[in-house]
Amino acid sequence: MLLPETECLPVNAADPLSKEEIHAAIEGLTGADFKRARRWASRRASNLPGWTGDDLLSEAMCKLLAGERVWPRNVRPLIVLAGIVKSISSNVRKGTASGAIDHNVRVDADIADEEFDHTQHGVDSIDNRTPEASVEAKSELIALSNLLKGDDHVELVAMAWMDNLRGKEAAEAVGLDEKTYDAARKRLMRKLDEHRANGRSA
Amino acid sequence: MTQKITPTNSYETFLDVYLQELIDSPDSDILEGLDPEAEKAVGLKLFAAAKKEAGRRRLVHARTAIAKNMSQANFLEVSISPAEARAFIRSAMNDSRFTMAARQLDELSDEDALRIYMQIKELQTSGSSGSNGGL
Repeated sequence: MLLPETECLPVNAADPLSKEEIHAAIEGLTGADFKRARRWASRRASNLPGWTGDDLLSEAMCKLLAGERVWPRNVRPLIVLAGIVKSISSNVRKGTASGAIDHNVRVDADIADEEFDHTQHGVDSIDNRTPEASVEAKSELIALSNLLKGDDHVELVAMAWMDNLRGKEAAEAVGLDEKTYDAARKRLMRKLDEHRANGRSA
Repeated sequence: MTQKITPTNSYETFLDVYLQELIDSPDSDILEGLDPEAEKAVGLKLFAAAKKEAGRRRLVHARTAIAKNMSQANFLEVSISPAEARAFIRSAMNDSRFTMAARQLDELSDEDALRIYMQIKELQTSGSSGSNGGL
């Protein structure tokens, strides 16, 4: 999936942000941006043994600061953080499945990898076609189905998302008018917010 | 190109769309009444923990690198016997760059013989030709 987050500025993986620039970029995030990043990380941490979303997000920032990951210039913070969170969670899942975690192995193939390679020393690509990944995904889909059960419209929106459809196109595909679709979309977003689901305010 | 639909692809696509929705949603929808400053404080707290951990890792890496260098130096030191070190030093005494009284050689302790061996090796490696290395 291509995420148009560079606002027409060229992505330059060969010219990553310096440590000072990374500090400034993260410290400049708004409360809403932190919340977005935490919600995404929280979703990525679901069914991840021993990890919370905040653990994943903190680890992603740590990897940037420790120089284990690079931040290509002109890529927005949420895209960078989301990609690293995705990689970490994939690595943890693979490590859990194989019974051994090698924290020194860095894996690329992030969300925005179609646009750039933001690892310094990436060695393996994430291959989601392994039997373990397939079992894991099935488990996640079952959990998602249980979470959404009872709200037909929300389930339809989720199905549209699985087909990579959004907005008007998604509404048409699942046979909902735009207003109904948008209301269901908002309910889906709320259901996916684990902090809310767990009754925590943060 | 058509991508085969699998549970993995479906779930990953779902999550990718979810991320895009998070990015595109207005701040008011994301926060839903939460205090933005409080949310920022939570995020900065995570960042502070990340900074601390990154510092710790850099320290561990530095210590590991030093330990590795020490280990290599030690390996060099113990890779020859004191007798071999003395033989090497005796041979090096014919080199005009190094001066040492012949009688001193037999009086050297094993430790000193190895130390002098290391010094000569270092001098040879650094290519300090033309200067005498008095030992």
